[in-house]
Amino acid sequence: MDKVFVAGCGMTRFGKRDESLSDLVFEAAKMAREDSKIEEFDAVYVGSMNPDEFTGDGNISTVITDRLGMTKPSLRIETASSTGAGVFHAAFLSVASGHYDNVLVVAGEKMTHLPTQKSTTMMAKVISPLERIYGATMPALAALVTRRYMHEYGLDRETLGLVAVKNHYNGSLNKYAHFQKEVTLEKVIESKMVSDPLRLYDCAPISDGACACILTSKEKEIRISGLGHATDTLSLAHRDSLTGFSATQNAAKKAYDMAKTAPKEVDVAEVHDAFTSFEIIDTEDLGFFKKGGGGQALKDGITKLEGDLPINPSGGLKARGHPVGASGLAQIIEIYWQLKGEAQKRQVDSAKIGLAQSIGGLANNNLVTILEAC
Amino acid sequence: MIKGSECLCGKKVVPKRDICPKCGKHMSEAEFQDFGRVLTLTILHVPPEGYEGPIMFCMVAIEGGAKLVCGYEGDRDLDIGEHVRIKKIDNKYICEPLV
Ligand SMILES: [Zn+2]
Repeated sequence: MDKVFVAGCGMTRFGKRDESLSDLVFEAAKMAREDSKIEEFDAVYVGSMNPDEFTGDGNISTVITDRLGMTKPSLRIETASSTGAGVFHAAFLSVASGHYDNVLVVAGEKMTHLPTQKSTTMMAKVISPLERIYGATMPALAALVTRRYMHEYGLDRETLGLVAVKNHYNGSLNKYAHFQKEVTLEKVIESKMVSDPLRLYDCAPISDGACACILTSKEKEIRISGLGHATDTLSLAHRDSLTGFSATQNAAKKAYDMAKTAPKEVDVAEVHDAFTSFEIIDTEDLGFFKKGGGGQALKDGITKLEGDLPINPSGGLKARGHPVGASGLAQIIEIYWQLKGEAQKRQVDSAKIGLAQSIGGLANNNLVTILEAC
Repeated sequence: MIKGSECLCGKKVVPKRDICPKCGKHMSEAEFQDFGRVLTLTILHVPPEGYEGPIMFCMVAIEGGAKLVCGYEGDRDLDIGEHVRIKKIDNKYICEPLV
């Protein structure tokens, strides 16, 4: 397998945007092309979870490639809320195989123009019909996981809220973030109840946004050293454990093995905090902390920007925002910026190895990506 | 009793299905007790389109090994670990406290 490098990245500000999905992708791709100085591509890989329903556009890979002014082969990849990571992995394989030399990867979603209830209902289509018939949504299933986790490991409401406080602080330093304002713990734990015990500030927002990343076989500063992709049963009820995601654990093992590295070597990570409890679970599934120890590590400040292992320096899905198809790629781009020392006000100290972890639906198609500064 | 399926790999599921979600082998039909314990629960205050909130549902560990998400329409809160009986109404499973 050939070595694959990240040559350049771009991102729009996430949030409520008036532009079309194609225009957002154009903005991000322009920035990535300028960053990479690469203008000729063999193919365009497009990630978008549900543009057909969110925007009414079909044939989105061609619509976007046409907007970019490129008559290049394009294809769309979808893995629910990990789409942005899924498309990155697919593009990686096309370069690693030697088939392509330069590939443009773009990912985006346009959601905020719809009423929240409509978006929530559309997002709920990713979960099992066995659970959906009761009216279950993503937050409801996440709440089932969270309640059980709190029961088994004694995680308290305040500690859960600290995830939101930390990530909103990081987001306040990120000019691309949907939310660039800090929140207090009081505000988090008094926010509106969504699905007990998860409140509004425990949930990532619905956002618009796009990002772009250029992969190349030519040697550059940042190399993609490890990839892992694993899944689990569609239904939560068919799984052995409710308090950890085997899809993350298995994807992480593959990525660490491929990169010949280990959790303790990771300097910075972006993890899938669609819900505050997921960040705590993710940091355990990735092997950073022992099972049940994620909450204590958070309380001890280990995962803060200036801690030993900064988690979600971008603000995470929680504060950067969650355009569902874009988030997985946005995480990888944040790691790229951190390793290059280009993360501006939220830059962590001397990071050489960074990891991004993305969850599809209720922990199906979870992907782990490891980047290294050469 | 509740109808479900079991696999040689040990997986047990409700409702029944022909192929094991874990290992892909054919499952055989099985019957389980219609009671179990609450593993976890939630009350959803922001329902999807077509539903009225709040909606309470829980995951129950059925006596015999399968897990099941079911609805609950009782007049008092349930707790984790509580014993419940499960009824099938149309295609939905609904639980109620045993005592
Ligand atoms: Zn089986």
